[in-house]
Amino acid sequence: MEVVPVSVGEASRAWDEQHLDLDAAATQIADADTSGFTTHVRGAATRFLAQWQRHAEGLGTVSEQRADGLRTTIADYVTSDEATRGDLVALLTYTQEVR
Amino acid sequence: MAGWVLVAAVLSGCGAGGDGVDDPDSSPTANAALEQQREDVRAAAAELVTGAIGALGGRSSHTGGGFDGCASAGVDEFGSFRYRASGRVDVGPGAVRPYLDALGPVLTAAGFDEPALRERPGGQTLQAERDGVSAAFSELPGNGDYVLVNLQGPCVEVPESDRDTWLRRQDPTPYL
Amino acid sequence: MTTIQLPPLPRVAPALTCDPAAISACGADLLAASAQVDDLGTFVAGRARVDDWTGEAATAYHQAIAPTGRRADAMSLALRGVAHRVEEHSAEMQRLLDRRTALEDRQQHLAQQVAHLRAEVATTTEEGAAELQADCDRVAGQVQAYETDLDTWVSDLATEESEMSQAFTRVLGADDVDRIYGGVADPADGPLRDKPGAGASPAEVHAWWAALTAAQRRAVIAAAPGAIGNLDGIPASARHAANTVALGRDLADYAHTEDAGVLTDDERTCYDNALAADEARREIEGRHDPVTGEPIVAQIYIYDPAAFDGDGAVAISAGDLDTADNVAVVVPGFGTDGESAPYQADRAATLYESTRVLDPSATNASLFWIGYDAPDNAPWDEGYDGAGVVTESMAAAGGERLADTIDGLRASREDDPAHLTAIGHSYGSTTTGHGAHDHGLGVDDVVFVGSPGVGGDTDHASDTGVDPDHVWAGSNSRDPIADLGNHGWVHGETVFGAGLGDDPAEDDFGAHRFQAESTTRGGAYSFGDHSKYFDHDTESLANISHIVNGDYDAVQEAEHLHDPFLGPVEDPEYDREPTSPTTSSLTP
Repeated sequence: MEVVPVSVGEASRAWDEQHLDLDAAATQIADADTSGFTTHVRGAATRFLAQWQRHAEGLGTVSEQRADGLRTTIADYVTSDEATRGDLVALLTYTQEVR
Repeated sequence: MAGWVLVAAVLSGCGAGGDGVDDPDSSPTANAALEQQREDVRAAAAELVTGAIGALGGRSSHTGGGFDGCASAGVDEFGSFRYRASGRVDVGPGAVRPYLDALGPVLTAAGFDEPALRERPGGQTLQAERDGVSAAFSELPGNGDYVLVNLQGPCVEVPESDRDTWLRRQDPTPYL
Repeated sequence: MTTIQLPPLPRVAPALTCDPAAISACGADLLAASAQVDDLGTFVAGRARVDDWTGEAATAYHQAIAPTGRRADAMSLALRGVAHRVEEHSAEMQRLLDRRTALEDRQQHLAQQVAHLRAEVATTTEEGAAELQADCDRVAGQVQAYETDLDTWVSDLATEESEMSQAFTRVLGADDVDRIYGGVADPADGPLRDKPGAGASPAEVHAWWAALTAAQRRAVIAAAPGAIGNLDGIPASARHAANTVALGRDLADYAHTEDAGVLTDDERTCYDNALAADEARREIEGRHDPVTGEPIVAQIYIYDPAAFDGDGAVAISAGDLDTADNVAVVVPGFGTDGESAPYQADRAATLYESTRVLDPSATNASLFWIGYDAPDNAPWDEGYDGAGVVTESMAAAGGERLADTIDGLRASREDDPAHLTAIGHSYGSTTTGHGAHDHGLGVDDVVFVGSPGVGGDTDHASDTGVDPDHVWAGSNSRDPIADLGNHGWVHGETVFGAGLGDDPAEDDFGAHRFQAESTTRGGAYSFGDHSKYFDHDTESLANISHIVNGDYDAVQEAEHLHDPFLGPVEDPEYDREPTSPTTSSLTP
């Protein structure tokens, strides 16, 4: 098994941040106010917002999966025979999702 | 040297008041008074704008208001607040200058006292009071065919604990 | 019997119910969200790559994230495109509303004329018939022209509505997004690559920005608002647009993180600063120009909620910094941080109102500038002994930042310079003094109010580098902070290694002192009097406004403070009856 550097742990955290941020973007899209549009346009606007909320959530979900995937990689590595003591100390903090 | 000594003395006496104003903490009605002032000023503003359109024709715009800090009371803090409302009436094609001539009766019909005409840079203002609410129509001939309507209530001291709330209070809804 | 051909009655314009401001807000939300999606693309291309990780697992990971990056890039471009179209729609709908208002006026006027002509027909004689017919024909021509314009308006409205709807529907599905935007280069990439590096002068930055196309500028604002939002040399309107995107994104992020229950303490501080900036902007936008009655324009000139270890940096103007005849930069003092923004915004709006009331013929902008790390230990909270002696170090650092901001304002208006005034209040006057003395402030006038001292190296107005005839000081006789400045031969900073320099209101200093007493002053020193300089209907605000307007003859000057060799400081203003000049839109 190849060495998994600490930077992989840091990347998992960064993917979690992306997940959080994209969920926020999804909420922002969903909450955008369509009341200013004329009735002719409002329907298209509302449909667009609903669809794009899902798009942004989808990107957020992908980000979460990347974070989880990296955590699995880390967990596999730290339980393997190849991991050195120094690696373990540094990487163990990244095996849990913080947020 | 004298300055530093003096400041120490002032600090030790801080909070003693001394400006003759009642302690606002003992006035639980301050918030209610400001809420009431908002209602009064907005109602009067709507009445005056409608009256101005009745007298001069045209249409209104920018009919809004909000709470403004009145007198500062230290860093980041106003000790008192008041409600201010404003609006603009772009007069109709038949209106004749000076527009303010037609607006005195609008003020008196709304229960304001005898209006006073004052010069102001760029034009004139017709100002009157009613129950502590000050109202004015302004005409600025060089700026366009409109009159401005401005009203403000009296400054109301608010308890220290509520000052931040009033400072941050937003009031985006037009009164008309 | 003669027949008169009457003109037709003009049709009434159809109702148009829409709210351009709400449409614009919707566009702003979409643009902020697009910036977030853009960040994902940037992240995948950068930090997510984990370049020091090799092997099979790493290769699989890199292959897996590549499509995510491509998808994020395409989606950010698509969302940005719609957001920009919504912004255009807002402007177009406002134009259509304005056109409808004009049509309505014409319709009413023509209808009155037609009614008048109809009444004329009943009373006209055979001799008057020809003249009446001519009038009818003239009005009929006007009605026809009106009808044509009305048809054009109806058609333009339908076209605009249709185009906006199409913009929404053409990128509804993920497939549509990929088909239209997949692999398309971001128009922001080139300009961002060519952007002058750190240390570039505001003039160099301005030259770079001026060379971009409108489309490139819009792309940069959406893709990398942080790259230009606080960059000196960029025009205020563009900085505002970028900072609006950044603020909108931050508010959404922090609100979501708080809802998720995982907001850290540092983020809480930033969130509070972001909320304060948002409230400050709304405070200004909620006030009305006393000359036009229209809402005051707000521009977010600096927005950095994490600056200065969480104190935050923010500067927002009341008025358009890019076009105003007169620009004032207000530098606040003790106790100021990002959360002070709503209070400072009230002051900036008040100064804007006052300058407009006192000279309706000039356009103005007042910028409150929390662009430096001010001392947190306000003397009225903690006393000088409680938090250590306040020194000039923060003012010296702040002065350099202020000089940069002034340089930026100047550089972005090279061909159309404003009359520019720097106003330092409280410790902000020490900062302004340092900026002027240490770096040179490119301002026309400098004003110190409630000054505890303008810096140890500035013993005379001429030391500021500004013509002493354009150096001004306002000092309320009951303001204990203004009394802190060194007087006469006593120089605190040289005696104690502390203190903030000379009192600019004293005769030896050589500045103009203007009247700044308050009708609500007490009989003794009061910290309340330290904060009244910007309140409406005060001597101080009126005089500051005259200076900002360059209306120097209107400034009410005061006799200077004098410190005799023996005895206490003498203030001739102490016994003068204060006045209350009108600065608000009303006569009080």
